[in-house]
Amino acid sequence: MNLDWLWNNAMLIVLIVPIIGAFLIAAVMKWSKKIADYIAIGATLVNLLIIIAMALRFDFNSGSFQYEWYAPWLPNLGINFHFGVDGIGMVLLILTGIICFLAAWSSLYHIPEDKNRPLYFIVYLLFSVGILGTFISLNLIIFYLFWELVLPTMMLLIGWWGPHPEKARHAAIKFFIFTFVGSIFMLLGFIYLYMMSPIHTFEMIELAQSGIPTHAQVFAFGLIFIGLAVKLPLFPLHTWLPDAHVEAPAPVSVLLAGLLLKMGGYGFVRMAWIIPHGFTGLLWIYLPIAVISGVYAAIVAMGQDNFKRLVAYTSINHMSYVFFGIVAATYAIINGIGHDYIQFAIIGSVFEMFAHGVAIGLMFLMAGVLLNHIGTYHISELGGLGKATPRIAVLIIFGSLAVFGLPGLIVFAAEVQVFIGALSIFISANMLWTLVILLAPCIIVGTYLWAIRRLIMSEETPIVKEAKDLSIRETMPYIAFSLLIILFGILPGIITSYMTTTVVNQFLRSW
Amino acid sequence: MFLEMSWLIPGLLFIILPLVVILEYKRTYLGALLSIFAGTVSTILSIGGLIEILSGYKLPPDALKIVWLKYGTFEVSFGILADELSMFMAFIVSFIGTLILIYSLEYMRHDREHSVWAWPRYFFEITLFIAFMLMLVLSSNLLQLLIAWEGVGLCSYLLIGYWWWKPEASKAAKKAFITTRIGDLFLYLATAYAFFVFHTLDVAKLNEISGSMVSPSLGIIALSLFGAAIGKSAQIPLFTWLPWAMEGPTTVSALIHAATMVKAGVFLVARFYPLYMHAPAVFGIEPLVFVAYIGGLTAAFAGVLAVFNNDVKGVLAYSTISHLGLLFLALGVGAYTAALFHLLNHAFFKAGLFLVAGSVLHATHDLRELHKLGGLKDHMKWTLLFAFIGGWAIAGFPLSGGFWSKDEILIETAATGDITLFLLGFIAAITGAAYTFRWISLMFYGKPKSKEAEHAHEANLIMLIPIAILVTGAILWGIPILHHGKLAPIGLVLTEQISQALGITIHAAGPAEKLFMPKEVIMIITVGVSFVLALVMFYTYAIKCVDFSKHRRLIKIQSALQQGTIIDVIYDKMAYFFGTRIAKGAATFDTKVVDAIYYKITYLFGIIIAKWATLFDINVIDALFERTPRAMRRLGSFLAKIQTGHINTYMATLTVGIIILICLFLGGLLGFNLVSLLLG
Repeated sequence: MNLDWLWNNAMLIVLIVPIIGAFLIAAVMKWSKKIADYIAIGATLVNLLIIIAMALRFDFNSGSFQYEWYAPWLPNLGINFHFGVDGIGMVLLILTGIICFLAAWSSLYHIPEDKNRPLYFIVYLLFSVGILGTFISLNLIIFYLFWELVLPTMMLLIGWWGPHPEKARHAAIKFFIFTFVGSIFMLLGFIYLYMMSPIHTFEMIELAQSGIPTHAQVFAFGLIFIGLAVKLPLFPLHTWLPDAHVEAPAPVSVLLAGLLLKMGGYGFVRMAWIIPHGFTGLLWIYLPIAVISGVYAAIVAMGQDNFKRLVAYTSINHMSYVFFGIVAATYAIINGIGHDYIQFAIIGSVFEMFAHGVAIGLMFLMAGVLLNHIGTYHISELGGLGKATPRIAVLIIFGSLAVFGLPGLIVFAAEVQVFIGALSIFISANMLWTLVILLAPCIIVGTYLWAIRRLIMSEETPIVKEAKDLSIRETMPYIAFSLLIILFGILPGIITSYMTTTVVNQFLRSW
Repeated sequence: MFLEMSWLIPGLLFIILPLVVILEYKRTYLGALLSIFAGTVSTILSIGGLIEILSGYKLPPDALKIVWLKYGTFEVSFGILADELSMFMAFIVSFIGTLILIYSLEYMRHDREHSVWAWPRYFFEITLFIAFMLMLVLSSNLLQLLIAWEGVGLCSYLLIGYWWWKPEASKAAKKAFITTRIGDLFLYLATAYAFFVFHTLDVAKLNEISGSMVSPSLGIIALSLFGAAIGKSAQIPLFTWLPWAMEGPTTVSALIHAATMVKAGVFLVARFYPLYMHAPAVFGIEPLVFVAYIGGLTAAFAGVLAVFNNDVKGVLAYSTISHLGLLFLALGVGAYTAALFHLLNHAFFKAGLFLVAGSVLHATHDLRELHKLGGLKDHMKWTLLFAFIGGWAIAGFPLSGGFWSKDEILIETAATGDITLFLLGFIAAITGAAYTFRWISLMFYGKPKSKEAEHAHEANLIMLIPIAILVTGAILWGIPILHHGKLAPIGLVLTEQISQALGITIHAAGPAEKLFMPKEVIMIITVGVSFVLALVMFYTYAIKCVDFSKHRRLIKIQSALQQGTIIDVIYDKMAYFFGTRIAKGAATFDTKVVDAIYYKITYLFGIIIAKWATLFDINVIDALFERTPRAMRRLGSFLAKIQTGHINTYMATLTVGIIILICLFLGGLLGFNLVSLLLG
C-alpha cells in the first residue's frame, strides 16, 4: 500500500486529529462522560503515535525541512499555510506528543468529574492544536495565528478548572494580559521584518536567506524579544507565571511549563536562525537578562513556602539557561568562534527545553498530588511525607533530583551541554556573566534539598497523618515520566541526534 | 581476558540493582547475597585485571567505548579506561566494598527487623554507591567521570541520611551534598575549560596532549580540578561536612568516608597528574605547591582536632581528613608512589578501624560519647586486638604498611627543602599515634562509665572476619620482600610498578639533595615521638584512667577546638542567612515590587487614565456635541435681535466693518513687509 499521501499530509493530520477528537467529545458528552475521557486520551495517544512514526521516518542526514505542506493564502503578502519540521521542530513535536498524552492521562486523577471534564478535554485538545501549529509553522503570520490560539484556550483551562475559582480567574486574566501585550509587540516585529526584508515575505526560510540589514535585525528583534520573553519567561516579565501555575490544575501546569514556555524558547531558536544579529547587537542587554533571570529565579525559588511556586520559579530558572545558550550561540556565530561550541550551545538549549518539559512535568504533577491528597501546597504545613506517604515522597525526591540536574538524569544531559558550550564560547569575553550563572544550579540544589528536608524528612504534621498515599494505578503516569527522565538522561543521543544536521545547515552555513 | 571484561566491574553492580531491591523486598536475604556476589566478581576482575596489566598486556585504546553524544565529527564517548591506576583503585574499592557488604549483613540486621523497606533501600543505595565509585575510577571520559562523581555524591547523600527521621542525619546529608556540590562547580568549570583548550574530554588524550603543551590554561584546569577535590576529599576550607557525615550507619562511614568516596578527590589529582606536572603557575599559584600546602595544612589541623574529639566516629572522621591531607601533601611534593602506597594502606586500616568502631557501637547500642565508654576489653577481646593492629598501622609504627608510606611521604617532603611543609606533615604523623591510642584507651580500658558499656558483647564472626581481613591487610602491605635485590615492602613494590607504568617520574628535587637531615634520623624521630605520644595517651587514659570529662581545662580546650569547626558554624550562619533573609527577601521583592509594578501599571491604565479619559469624553467631546445645538439656537436668537430693521443701525455696523477691514489690510501689509524685511 502506498502511504505517501499520508506522509505528505502528516502535518495536517497531526493538526486535525485533536480537532476531530474535540468534535467527537462534543457529540458524546451528553450521554457518556467516560467515553469522552477515552476519546480525549485516545486522540492524544494517536497523535503521539503519529509523531513517533514521523520521528522514526525522519531523515537525519537531510538537515532541511521535512513533511512540508504548503497552501497559498495571501500569496502577494507572503502569507501562506506552510508547515514542516526540521530537527529542532521534530524534537519539540516529540515533546508535545509525549506531554499532551501524559498530561491528558493524569487529568483523570486531577480534574474532578463533576467539574465538566468533557468540556475540559475539548478545550485541552484545542490548546494542543495551537501548540502543535506553533511548532510546525514556517510562516511568521501562521506562527502568530497558532500562537494566539494558545492564549484563550490556556486562559480557559486555568480560569475554569483552577482549584480556587476566584483566584484562578484572576491569574488567568493576568496571564492573558501579559502574553497578549507581549505578542502584539511580536507581531509588530514580524511586520517590521516584512517591510525591511528585500523580498517582502513572512516565510521563515526565505527571510533567513534574504539578508536583512543588521540595524533592522536589531530593532526587529528588540520588538520580538518582548513577546518571546514574556512567554519564556525572562526577568522582569515573569510575574504572571507563578500565579498562573499556582492557580492552574496540575495537568494544565504541566502543559503550561512543559509546552507553553517552549513556544518562547522555540521562537528564540528560530530568531537566532533568521536574525542572529538581533541578539549580538544588544548583547549587553540580553546576556545580563539571561544571567539575572537564572540566578534571581533560583534565589526566589529558595524563598518560597508554596511548593508549586517553588517549582514554577525553577521553571523560570531553567528557561533562562535556554535563552543563555542561544545568546551564547549567536555570539559565537557572529564572531566566528568554534564550530562544536555552537552545536553544544544550540542543541543543549533545545534539549534543555525537552528535558525541562519532562522533568518539571513530574514535579508539577507531584505538587498537584500534594493538594489533592493532603490539601495544601504550603511546605510549612506539610512534613514527614516520608513516613505517612512514602510513594509521594519517593516520587518527589526523584523529581527533585531530576530537576536540579543530577547526572544520569535528563536535565543534567541538557545543562551540561549548555554550560560547556556557553563557557567555551564566553571564555575569552563575558566570562564573568558565565561564572555568575553557574551559581544558579548550586542554589537550585540547595532549594530542593532544603524543601525535601522540610517536606519529607521531618515530623509529620496533623494533616499529613490523615493523608492517603497514591494508589498504584494513580502512579502510572508519574512512573512513565520517571522512565522518560532516566531513559533520555542515560541516552540523550536519541534526541540530540535529530538536531545535529539541522544545526549545521542553519547556523553554520558560512563555515 | 580480565581486561576485556573490565566493563563488568561497575556494570554488573548496575545491572543487578533492580533484582537486589525485588529480592530483598521479599525478605529472602538473596538480594544482599546477590550484591555481595557481584562485589566479589568485581574484586576478582579487578585483581585479575591489575595482574594482567602489570604483566604488560594492554587493551587497544578504543576497545571498551560507546558513543554518548555525537555532533558531526566531534563525539563524547563513554567507556572503560583500564590502566594501572584505575585497576588499582578499582581493586581497593571493590575489595573493601565487598567486605563492608558482608559486614552489613550483621550490622544492619536490627533495621531489617524494623521495616520492610530498610534493607531493599540500604542494599540498593550502597550497591549503587560502589557501582558509581567503580565507574568513577574507570571512567575514560571527563564527562563520564563527572556523572559518576555526582552519582557518588547522591549516594552519600542518601546513605548519610539513611536514618532520615533523625534531625541530625537529615541535616548532615544535606550539608554533605551541598558542600561537595560547591566543589563540583569547579569540576564543571574544569570540564568546560578542558573542552575549550583540548577539544576533547577523553582522559587518556587529555593527559597525553597536556604533556606536550605549554599554556597557562593548564594551570587553570589543574586548579579547578583541585577545587573539586577539595570539596570531595574534605580539605580546608570545605572539610566541615565530613565529621557531620558520621550520622549515617557506621558501615556507610567506613565505605564512603574513609575508604573510598573521599579518595575520589585524591584520585582525581592522581588521574590527571601528567597535567599537574606541566601546569604552570596561575596568578602566582603553582598548582602542585598549592595542593601540597592545602594538604599539609589540613593534615596538621585535622590531626590536632582529632586528638581532642569526643566521639567514637568523630576521632576517625578527623583522622580521615588528616590522612587525606597527607595524601595531597604527598602528591603535591611529587611523591606519587608514596601517595598511592599510603592511599592503599589508609583504605585498609581506616576501613578496619571504622568497622571496629561499628562493632563497639553495635555492642553499646550506638553510644557515641567516648567518655561514657570504657572497660570494653573484658567483653570484646577480638575487637580490641583488631583495634590494636589497626591502630599500630595508623600510628605508623614499624612493620606496618603505614610505617613505610608515612615515612616515605615525610622524607620526600623534606627533600623539597620546605621546612613548613615538612613540619605540617610531621604534626599529622605524630598526632596519628596520639589520637588512635587515646581512642583505644578510652574505649577499651578503665572502668565502664555507663550501663551500655557494662553490658557490651562481642560481635559475631560475620562482623569480625571482615575486620580481621582489613587490619591484616594493613600490616601485610608493609611486609618487606626482596625486589630487584632490594628489600622493599610489598605495597611499595606494587605501587612503584604502577607509577612506573604510568610513566610518572618524581619531578620534585631528588631525595637527599636538599635533605636537612639524614633519612634515618627523620624516621627515628617520627617513630620515636609517635611512640612517646602513644605511651602518654595510654598511660593517661588506660592506666591512670583519667576521666577527662572532669577536667575543666581540657574540656575548655576541647570545646575551643570543636569550635575550630567555627568554620562550620560560619557556613551554617551563611546558609541560614541566604536561605531565610536573602531568598525570602527576594521572594518578597518579586511579589511586592516586580509584580506590583505591573499591577500599578494596570491600575494606572485601567482606573486612572481610563477614568480621566471618560471624564474627558463626557465633559469635553460629548459636551461639545451636546452643546452645539443649544449654542446654535442661542446664536440664532442673538442674530435675530440684530435684525432690528433700523437703517441707522445697519449703516453704523457697515462703517465699523469697513474700518476693521482697512485696519486688517494695512496690518497685513505691514506684517508682510516686516516678514520680508526679516527674511531679507
